[in-house]
Amino acid sequence: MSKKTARNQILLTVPMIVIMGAVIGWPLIRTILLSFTDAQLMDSGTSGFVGLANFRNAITNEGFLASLKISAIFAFVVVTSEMILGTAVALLVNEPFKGRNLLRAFLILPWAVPTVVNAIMWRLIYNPEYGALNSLLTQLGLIDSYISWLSSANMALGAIIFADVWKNFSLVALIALASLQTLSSAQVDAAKIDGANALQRFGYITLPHLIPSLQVALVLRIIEAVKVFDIIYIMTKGGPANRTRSGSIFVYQEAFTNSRMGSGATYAVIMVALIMIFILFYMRIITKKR
Amino acid sequence: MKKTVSVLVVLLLVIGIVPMFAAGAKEGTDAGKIKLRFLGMAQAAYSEKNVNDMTDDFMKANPNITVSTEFVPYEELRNKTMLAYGSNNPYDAVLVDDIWYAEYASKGMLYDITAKVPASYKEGVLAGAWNVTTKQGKVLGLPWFLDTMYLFYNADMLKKAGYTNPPKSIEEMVDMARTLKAKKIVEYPFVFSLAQAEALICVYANFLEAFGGSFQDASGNYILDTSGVKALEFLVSLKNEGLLNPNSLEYLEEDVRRVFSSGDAAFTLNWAYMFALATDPAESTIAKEAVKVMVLPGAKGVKDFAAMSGSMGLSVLNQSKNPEAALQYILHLSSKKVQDAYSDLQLPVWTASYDDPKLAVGREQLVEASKKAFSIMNVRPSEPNYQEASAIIQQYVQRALYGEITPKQALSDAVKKVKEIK
Repeated sequence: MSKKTARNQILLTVPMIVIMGAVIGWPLIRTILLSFTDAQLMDSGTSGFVGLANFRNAITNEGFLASLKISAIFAFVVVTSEMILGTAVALLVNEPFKGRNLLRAFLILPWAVPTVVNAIMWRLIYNPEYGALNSLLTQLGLIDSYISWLSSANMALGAIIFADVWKNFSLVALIALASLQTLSSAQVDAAKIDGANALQRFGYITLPHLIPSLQVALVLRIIEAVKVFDIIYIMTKGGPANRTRSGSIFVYQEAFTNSRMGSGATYAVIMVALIMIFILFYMRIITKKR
Repeated sequence: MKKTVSVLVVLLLVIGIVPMFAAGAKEGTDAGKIKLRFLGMAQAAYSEKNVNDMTDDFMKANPNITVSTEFVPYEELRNKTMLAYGSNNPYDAVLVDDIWYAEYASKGMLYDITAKVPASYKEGVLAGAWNVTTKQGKVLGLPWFLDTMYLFYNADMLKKAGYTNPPKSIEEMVDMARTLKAKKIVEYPFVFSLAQAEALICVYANFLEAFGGSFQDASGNYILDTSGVKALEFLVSLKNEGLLNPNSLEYLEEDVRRVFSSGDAAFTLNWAYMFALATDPAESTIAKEAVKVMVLPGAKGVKDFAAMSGSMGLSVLNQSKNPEAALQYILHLSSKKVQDAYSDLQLPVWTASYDDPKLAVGREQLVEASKKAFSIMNVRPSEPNYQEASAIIQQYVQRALYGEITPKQALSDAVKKVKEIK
């Protein structure tokens, strides 16, 4: 590479570095700086440096730890369900059958629905007076009376998880399907001739082929699920009795409802640090693939 | 080539950076024209259409002022006001709940209009209404509506159960509810807005008042762990007895209105706006004549009636570049003429409006109830960190309603937590 080309490359990346520095770098640095202060939402610059006090409080705050646990449960159940369901659906629509292309087109629909719309839609479906889910389950004879899904302390999180899985499993399915398209049919046919049954073919040929793509989907979905905010905020706002208050909802409440920007920033920094672990995994997978 | 690259870099920088700064470009006046921004609440009364119509009239009368209006749900109103205030594009005028005045005032957000309120407003608006918008002797806003949660009941259901008169006490109301349930007239006689939100506090606060309790003592210390237990025990007992619709724990006011208007509840608490909608055949399946409204009766031997304020005012924000024009705008919105014209869903704050017999036509009982409520109305705590205290109380009240802990334990824990933040 000539000197001139190298210089041009650097010059052309300058605008992106400046833009990213302004919209990502500066807010991140500001949040980290805030996390060491007792800043209030509108303190007119009267906040003071408190060292690591916010971090000490954060790791002993029962509410924050409970909300992290909710985020972890949410992420684990959502991602596991989406991986299994997404892979199964991808395998299904990879098989030749009439209407396959139409089904593939429909597959993208749930993922294309904006999260806010999805949350409102499921709130209506779960409505305890006229919701479609209660009506369906009653007609099928599975329940005797209408259930209040989102006000049940035990079921609210499950109801939100179901709504999120419905929306996002198709992303996993699409990624898996794209990977399946590159699987050599000759390999599968050879295994058939060798007498491998369907389960063996899946375990020894299809799954190993799918794993690199699924790893990417897995990490991306974990990152999204750990920082979940919008679907919960719209469906329950963290209730009932804080049973669905995720880490991100906790951060929002601390910073904006309680007006404590300093400690709100601390909780946000801890959340980012946790998410960074998964981002590092993601980077490793991507690098390996190259 | 070198020149081309340099031009390309500059172009990319301009495309990328300029919009960021353009977003914060100075707004306010444009060739002598004043631009105002108003933040209101997306609600039934006054509705967005009502406020926009009022605003259009204002702009017609003041062609040099343009007002753009925005509306958000109640749950977002405070946060949006505060976040916008801290930005370089704050609102000029906002709608403020009575519980937020102390917080906004402590942060110096509100424009002091003490010396600017016209005498006609000072004398004409209901005296008690000024308590909502006045903090430490300073008038920080104009009262826009006085409200409380009224008791709505279905008279047809009560009649079927053999009752011709409304309940005179909380105990009598519960007896009626038991009869209604026993006679299978309605499965759940009560429905309340008990979702984890301020609506829950409003319901609880009304029963707190009915049982003679209060949030704080004279020194501002929360005393719910002693004076608030009866009210919470009452709500828990309604749930345990199967008298309270269990879905109440996810309901806000609009959900409650729909349940009552569908004939699935005999009693509920809601704001004044519900009366017009519950008696509107397009919005309600129950007979207009069956919808009755009154001030919540008190507990036997404690008090006759109870009411807790849910009033709101209009204020100009200190960061407004055109505070005088913004004041002119909120004076218009809260003027007697405008309030009388839009009194269908919201009762005016003007004393003289109640002298006009037209105001009460078709809703005599609501006007009568409001007069009584305004004279006895108490208020929720008005202090800078009320919002956080409220969030804590909401959580513990819900835990008691779910039966996870006893009402006494819930309120003890809540008071302990509130003390930690104070």
